[in-house]
Amino acid sequence: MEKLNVNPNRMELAELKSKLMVAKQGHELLKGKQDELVHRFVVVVNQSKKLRADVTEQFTGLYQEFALVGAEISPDFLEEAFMSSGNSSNIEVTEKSIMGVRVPQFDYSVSKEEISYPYSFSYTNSELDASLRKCHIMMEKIVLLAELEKTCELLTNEIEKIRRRVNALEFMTIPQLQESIRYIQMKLDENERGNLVRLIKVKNKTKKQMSK
Amino acid sequence: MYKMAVVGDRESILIFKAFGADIFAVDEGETLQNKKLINRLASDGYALILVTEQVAKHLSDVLEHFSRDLLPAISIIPSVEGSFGLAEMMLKKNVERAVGMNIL
Repeated sequence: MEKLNVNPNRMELAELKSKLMVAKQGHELLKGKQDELVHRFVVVVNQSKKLRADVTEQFTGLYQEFALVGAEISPDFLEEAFMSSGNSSNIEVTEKSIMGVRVPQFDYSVSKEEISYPYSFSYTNSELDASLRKCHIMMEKIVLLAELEKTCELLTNEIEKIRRRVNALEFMTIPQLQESIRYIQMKLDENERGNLVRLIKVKNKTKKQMSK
Repeated sequence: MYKMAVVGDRESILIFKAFGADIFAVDEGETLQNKKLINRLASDGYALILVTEQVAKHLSDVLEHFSRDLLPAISIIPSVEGSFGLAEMMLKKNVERAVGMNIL
């Protein structure tokens, strides 16, 4: 690992040592955060996977039923029937924090209300009512699924970011600091030895002169 | 208070009209138009956008773009033509990115 470009003196050494300590602490903390995030992520992913399979299956059933409805009632009329629906989609969004990652939470009001049939019963058939009921029940799941999948995406981004930081600390910053500290220490030791040798030589010289 | 939008072919999304969602019937081939539509919806205060798989498969870069923001949440739903597992694939990709391998 390449050492940093530093001057070999004691002040620099002290500074690098404190930097190394901070880097090690930071690495430890981030690693802990990453582990916990991955843990939470796996829980959310498993939930979301299960719910996705469920919803996909229900959708298939719904479309099959709805196709029957469409066969009996003309699409234009069907559209008209729904257009007069008084419902307006209101989604309440609150924010939740998972380990400091902000994720949305959806609250879909329509799914909690009693189902209302916005069309005249005399021109429609009972299959339409049935598929509408089915879709009404599904709505809650669809919204929850969207929430879970969004959470997955946001957590993925955060985990990726943190992993990069952890790796940078572990494989770049910390080795660089260690290498620089070793370099400074060697240099200081070398100076110390040089000094010692010089002193001994001077001592020997003065001894010789004294004895003359 | 936020709104909900559904984008896809008319047949698949019609039923959501009954639940107060705003529906946008589009042609899956019109990729550019669809991208513009999604962008417009995102800035128009829609918190939840449901897109059918048939349409979503052409819009991966837009979905990728919005996956970084808190809102809107863009979710994929199957269309009448059935599901070919696009949502599962995206989930898998996320897992691979986060964990480093596919653990599902």
